Amino acid sequence: MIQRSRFTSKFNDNFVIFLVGMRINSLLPLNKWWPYYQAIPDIINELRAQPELGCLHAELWRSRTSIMIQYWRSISDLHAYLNNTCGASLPAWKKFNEAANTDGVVGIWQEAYRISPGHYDTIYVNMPPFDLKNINK
Amino acid sequence: MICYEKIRAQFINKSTDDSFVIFLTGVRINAPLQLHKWLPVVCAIPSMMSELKHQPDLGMLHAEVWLGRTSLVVQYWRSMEQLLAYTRNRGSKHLPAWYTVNETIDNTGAVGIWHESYIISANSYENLYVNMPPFGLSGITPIILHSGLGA
Repeated sequence: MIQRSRFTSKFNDNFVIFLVGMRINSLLPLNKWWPYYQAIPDIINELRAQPELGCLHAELWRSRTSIMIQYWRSISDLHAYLNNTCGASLPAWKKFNEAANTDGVVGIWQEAYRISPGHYDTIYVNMPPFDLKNINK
Repeated sequence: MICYEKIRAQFINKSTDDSFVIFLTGVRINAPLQLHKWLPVVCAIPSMMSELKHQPDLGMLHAEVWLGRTSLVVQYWRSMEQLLAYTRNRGSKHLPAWYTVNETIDNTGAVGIWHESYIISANSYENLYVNMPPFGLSGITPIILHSGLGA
């Protein structure tokens, strides 16, 4: 639902912005990159279904290089999830790690930023619940 | 501390000693048929990007763009002061675009705008790039080869 007005948002605690994605370096063979491409919605679904993991919100853009913006409660929650042997992320990571030694078909990138209260600004105009505006509810 | 079960030796980890700014911004096309409302706003994005790339003294270090109904521009800025100075610069491409947005946005709702800017302190972030071209922060900071567990 579009909120036809201007909003900003403030989060009282520290939190983490996690930018993560993959790059398809070679379109062929498809079977080299498809498993990772497919793992992305699995990861998002898992994070949405289990808010106790600590992911507050996620947005996804697909392209040759994809990006997920994830908002995490803390860096420790994020690390715990990335190292969680029961999660959807680690199996994909292990598989990638093995394949990355032998081919460069898929690239992976990630940037994690710890954000302190008072160190950010947001503006939303005519937007549906999105990003920080969403997690402050 | 990045500490996954296994980290490959060729991983690249990058860091800078200075604080900087991550600026996430974009446009959402709420009413696709009202082309005349959202097209001027969307078209302003490439002209602003071009301006910022050709004038590095304005303070933008690097940018990446993703298109879609909601677009995303990830920009890395040297400081919040420079980002704010650019948004208020009467000679820039941004201010006319912002006026257009203000004229069209409030009364129709055809186009949405979002901005998030974060001040990133030194040593408050971590990153990894594997099999990637210069991308994101890795395009603007010194390279450190990752050689084992931890960061």
